[in-house]
Amino acid sequence: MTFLFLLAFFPTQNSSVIWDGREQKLATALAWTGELSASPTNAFADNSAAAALGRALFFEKGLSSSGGISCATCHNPALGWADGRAVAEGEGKMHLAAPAIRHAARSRWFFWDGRADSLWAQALQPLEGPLEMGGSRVGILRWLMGQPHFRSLWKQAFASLPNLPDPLPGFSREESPTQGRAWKWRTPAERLQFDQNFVRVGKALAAFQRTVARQPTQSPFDRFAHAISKNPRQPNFVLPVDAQRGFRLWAGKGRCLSCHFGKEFSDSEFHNLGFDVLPGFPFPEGRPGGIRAMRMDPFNGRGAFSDDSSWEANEKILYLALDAHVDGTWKTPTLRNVGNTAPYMHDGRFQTLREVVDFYSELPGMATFGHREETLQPAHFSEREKTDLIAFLRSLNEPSETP
Amino acid sequence: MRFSAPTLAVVLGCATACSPSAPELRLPDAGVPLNKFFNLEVTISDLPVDAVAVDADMPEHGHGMVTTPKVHPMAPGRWLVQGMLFHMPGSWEIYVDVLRKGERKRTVFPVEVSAFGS
Repeated sequence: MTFLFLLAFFPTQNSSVIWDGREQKLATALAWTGELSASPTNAFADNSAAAALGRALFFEKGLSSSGGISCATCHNPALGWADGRAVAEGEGKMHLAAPAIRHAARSRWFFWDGRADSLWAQALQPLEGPLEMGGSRVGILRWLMGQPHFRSLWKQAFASLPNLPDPLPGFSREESPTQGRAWKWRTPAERLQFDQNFVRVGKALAAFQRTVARQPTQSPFDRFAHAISKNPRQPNFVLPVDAQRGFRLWAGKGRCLSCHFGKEFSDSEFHNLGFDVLPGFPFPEGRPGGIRAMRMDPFNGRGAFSDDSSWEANEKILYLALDAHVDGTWKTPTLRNVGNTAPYMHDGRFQTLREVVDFYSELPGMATFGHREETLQPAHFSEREKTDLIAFLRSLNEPSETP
Repeated sequence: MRFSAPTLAVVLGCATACSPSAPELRLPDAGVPLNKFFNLEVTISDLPVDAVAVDADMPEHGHGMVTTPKVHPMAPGRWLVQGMLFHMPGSWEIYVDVLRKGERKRTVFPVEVSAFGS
């Protein structure tokens, strides 16, 4: 009885996959490590007190205009750091899916169109986005300083509390450059004071997200990758054989590796998959709008609020190209945890991994804006190949977690 | 301006006046880094040269880099190209254009970039 059970659970040696040196190198290149690149524009990026403040901010609904939305509403650790919805819903309904942010600290650009060049600059935008958290920098800072818990965390992170200008009569929370009339009545010195402290909110949130990205993953694929990096010639049963075949397909015939590589399973760049625009959705400009927004963002790495605004620390901005090649392109999402983060694509058009694999198999339709990346050709996967690919993708799942 | 990115060497031999040698691209042992900035150092022995421009494409994909590199003269016959970034694995071509007396000559260097690690 025990023997029969083992036969059913483990593949026979003949059906297992033996890996060559090249595949061993690939698995090693993909296997998770805790390494993160430096974040020179954020002096608090690896400050544990700032991360503790950032953690409290991340889960705090009091930052939103309604008091009902936090960062975790759309980036819920229990839902793979996404929200399980086709498009995000904060104070209002948006037209883009909430990205899974568990590994966001490894990205080069942020948001689907890359409109932010750092994790801290990214963190600021949803706080004031009318459909996201709908807050204002003045209101957020005032509210935080009214909470003893946050005052304490702030002081531990930044040594002193902000000396905020007095409220304007009749305005409490709605002061920001993007909403409310009161912001323009502030003097430049007062605006600077609010901006400097608002930036600290973003830098603390970024510090927290870096600790999240450093938490070891327990995905079956990573256990498998570590095992075959030690001994590729030995049949490996850490991963079911269908997922192993799926891994080989993913790196080979499927050509998924062209964009989904590295430890984040993403190139952190932008591609046009040839999608039309969904009914009721806005014109799908994608990356061009993101580049323009990033260049105008006062909180980009070259701006006055950056802790290192040198070109050396910001070469990705210095050399960034804006041409027709980026029309209609959207950022490559990570594949880590992909089985836990449905729906899929920037506009949440696919409900299941099967729909995603079916799309790459036949590549129906054509792009509304720009043109489909030419390297994308229909893969014409067989039924078994589709099942194998999905098994591999699910092997990148991580247990849900609470940091 | 110096960055910490690795530098690859491009050597363009004499085209006319001196003894010709094949254009050469010298790669470090680790190859061209995937999705990381790198520099090119272009050396041209047949001078004078009016201008040097560098670009790269993935012909199979129908697109080039996501960056626009900048070319800085360093010394007579030497240029430093910064801002090179090959963001995808696969077959790339590096184009080195040399302008002399109004005539542009392009040298193409095929380069393979691997996602499988060095």
